[in-house]
Amino acid sequence: MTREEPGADGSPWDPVVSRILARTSHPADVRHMTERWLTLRLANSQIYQPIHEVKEYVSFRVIVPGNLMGLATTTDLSEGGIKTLVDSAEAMARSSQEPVALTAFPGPGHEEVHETGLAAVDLGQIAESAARSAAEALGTVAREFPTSRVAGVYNAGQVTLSVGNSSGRHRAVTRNIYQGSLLVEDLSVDPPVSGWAEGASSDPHGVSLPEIAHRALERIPRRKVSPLPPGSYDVVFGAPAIAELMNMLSMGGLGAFSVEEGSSFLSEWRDRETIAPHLTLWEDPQDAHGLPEPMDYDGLPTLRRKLFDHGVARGPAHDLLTAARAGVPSTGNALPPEAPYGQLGPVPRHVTFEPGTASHEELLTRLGRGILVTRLHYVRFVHRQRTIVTGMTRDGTYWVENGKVHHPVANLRMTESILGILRRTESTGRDLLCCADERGVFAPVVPEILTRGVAFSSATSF
Amino acid sequence: MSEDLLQEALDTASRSGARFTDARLFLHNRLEYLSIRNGTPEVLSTGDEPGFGIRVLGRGGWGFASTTRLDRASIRETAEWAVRLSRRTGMADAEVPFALENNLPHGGTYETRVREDPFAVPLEEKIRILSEAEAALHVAPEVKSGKAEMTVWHEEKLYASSEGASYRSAITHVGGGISAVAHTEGESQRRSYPNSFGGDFAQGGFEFIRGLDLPRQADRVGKDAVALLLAPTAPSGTMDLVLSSDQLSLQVHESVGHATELDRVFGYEAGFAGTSFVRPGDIGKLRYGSPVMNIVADATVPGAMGSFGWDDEGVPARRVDIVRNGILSGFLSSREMAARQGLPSSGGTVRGDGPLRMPIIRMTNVNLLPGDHGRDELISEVKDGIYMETNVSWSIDDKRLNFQFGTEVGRRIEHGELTTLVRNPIYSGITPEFWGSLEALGNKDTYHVWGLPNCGKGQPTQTMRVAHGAPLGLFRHVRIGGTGG
Repeated sequence: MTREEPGADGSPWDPVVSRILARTSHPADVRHMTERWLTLRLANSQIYQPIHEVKEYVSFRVIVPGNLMGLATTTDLSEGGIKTLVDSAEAMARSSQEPVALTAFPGPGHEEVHETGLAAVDLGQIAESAARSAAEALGTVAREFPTSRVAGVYNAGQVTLSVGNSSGRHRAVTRNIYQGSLLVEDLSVDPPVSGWAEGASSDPHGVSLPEIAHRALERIPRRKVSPLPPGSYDVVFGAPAIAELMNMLSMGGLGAFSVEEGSSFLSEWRDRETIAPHLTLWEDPQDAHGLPEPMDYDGLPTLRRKLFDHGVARGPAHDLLTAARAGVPSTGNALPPEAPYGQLGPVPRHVTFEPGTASHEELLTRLGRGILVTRLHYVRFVHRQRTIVTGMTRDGTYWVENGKVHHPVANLRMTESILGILRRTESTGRDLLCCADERGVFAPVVPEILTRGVAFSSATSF
Repeated sequence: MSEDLLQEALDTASRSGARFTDARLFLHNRLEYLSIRNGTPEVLSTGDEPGFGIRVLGRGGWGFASTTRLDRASIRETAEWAVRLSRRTGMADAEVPFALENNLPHGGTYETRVREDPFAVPLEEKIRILSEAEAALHVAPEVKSGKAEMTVWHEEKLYASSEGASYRSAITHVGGGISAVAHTEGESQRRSYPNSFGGDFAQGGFEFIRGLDLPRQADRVGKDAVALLLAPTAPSGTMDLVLSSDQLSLQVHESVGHATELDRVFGYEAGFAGTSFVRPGDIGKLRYGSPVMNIVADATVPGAMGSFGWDDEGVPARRVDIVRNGILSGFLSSREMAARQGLPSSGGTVRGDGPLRMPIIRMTNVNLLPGDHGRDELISEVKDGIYMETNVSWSIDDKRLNFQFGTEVGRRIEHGELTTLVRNPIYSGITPEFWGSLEALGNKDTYHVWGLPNCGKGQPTQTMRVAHGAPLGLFRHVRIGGTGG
């Protein structure tokens, strides 16, 4: 196959990709990304920072004789810009003194890349409708809590990624990403009582600020914040809290880099029962309930695969490069290979759970007495190999008594092992929520869970 | 040509009746990152991602638009987007206040003083330095992973505003470091030099990286990582704490720098980064710490990563007192937030992460000024305590009160002397109580300005390069707790 011919899926080659590949005689691959975004930030119950962004760039990776690899990126797609790009990457590769394990890029293959059905995104229309939705959400909150303060964000974007390589593989995928969140604080009491809700979807109707406001309001108890001493408590974790913990587990233990350096729990726990045997966790980048990402940045199809199978930990995420080092197939987890993602390496970014059967109310009933944690803040590893993290609760921490939310409590510092939390998980919620970051890079689809005996090491006054 | 594009964009916004417009055109936005891990290249990448961003203050508040497409039509379309957003949305019921600035640049230039152009140093030489350093980390079989890395950023920016302000700046940041991970069954330990999370950074040329002398430091770093595997776990309890300059700089960043950003104080970052325990009326009243605590935000420090000529609102780099003799005395501010606070002018601390991000309040060089104690003198004042160095874990709540930090290395202090090496040390506290327990600070010999390249804030997230000067610090009766490992 020549580079001018259609790709394996019959689609025409991206001309930018073709132009770049035509400039090198070495094994190489190209990522061409075009992004258009609208962001509305909300603060102090107003739209504060409306932002429109267009970004188009390419990343080029080449392997010169001796298996020496180099990378370069540019936003300059002129002939001069592309020449500089290729020359820079080849110079980088020739300067490299050690070979990489990857010797060639995969050919067309026969894998199917499933694209999501996409509506064209008109950011002008979205700006209009998002502003109306924001106003409606702010109005709803103001009627419920006249002394409240609302903050949040709404993001809408379309991202097209084309990947092509010198072995004749070419794929292009377009993703639509909608994401929003709202924080409602009732300022009539000191410290304020707060409620949080969020959502993400590839469907423009899947993220509605008025609906998010409604969910945030539902959570807010009309009582004052009470202090709670640090200690061990039974907890229902909200989906945003679980999403944060799953992202940390991915970065700290489920990727090839952490396994290679020996800092991952998988170094000792792979293929052993690591978490509660009733839990099965997947990585599912094609889950329609999340932000489907059918192709990785190597141009390979992403895979639905088990991370924990009935409690047993499975292998780490790989991209082409780490898979070549390990002598295994890629799991389709490549991120852009250049900085800053290059330092992170391949990690699962679409973690999901086999859902349980309990509703939110049933989880609280099973909890009986304990804490409902909506969200966690600034979670960091204290001991990576043992997956011990510390982080603060945030934006709605509530005491549950007799299976009902009773009153808000001052925020607590949780210092716990993520695997320990999953080991002591008793019940999993039936409802899954996509909690994505603003650009849809990490987009876990997770339930609420009920866990016994969670360690809180200190507390705040708010 | 470039100036014409900027002016055309400003004219487009002015015709719309905007109150204020400013725009930034990045002619270059270069990043070179090189890392070697376990003898093989991890990432060897270089890139240049120029772009354009324009901010419009219209009847409906702010609008911001940006693009990487630098042709005339795209620039015009981007300006029109900013205008459209400033009309359509925002604070229709309250005009955004905006402080006057009497010292705007008119054609000024600012350029980093570079003795050795980092892009002129042959790639082979840079990679050789890293390879040598990385290889030297592997002092024992227990060292399972070694990494050596360096980063160079270079941005050339044109700024212009509807007030007639304009400047050109060319800023180069450099830095690098090494780290080793040693591993035995059930335990792994990391040791870094000169700091964790990529090393140390500064504004300057390749001479800074040469000065780090990475290959010569690697043997010690590898041995430290192995020694930590055998070290006892750090003690728990309440005891005196001596913090190294690198860890104390991060303490300043998290518990003072972020807490005194005036947009956080006013609630404008509540949805993501958080707010602050500090209130607008606390100036001159809030006891932040003990009387030996003096902190400034100083964007004029030569060679520091948070220095510049003018900020992204055209305000000249300046030095602002944040804490004086332990009392809150100032904020990090923008022209808008300064006006909200009733300050006569901005503190000049507004920057955007590259051309595509809307400028917001960011730290510059937020420095804890040194005291007068020599290192040995300060250690000698501790009867029973612990010394901690080089951050490995950091966490603080969204109001910047409750924090917990862990470091790579701890050493017991007994009867005024450093003794046993301990692993996994942690300390925690509440911000004003902790700073209130500060008893003494090291002198200039213990002081260093650390570059920090990864400060996150804003939506979409902006990663900013800032710096913090800090000396050695002695804190009394601090809560210390190990991880049990």
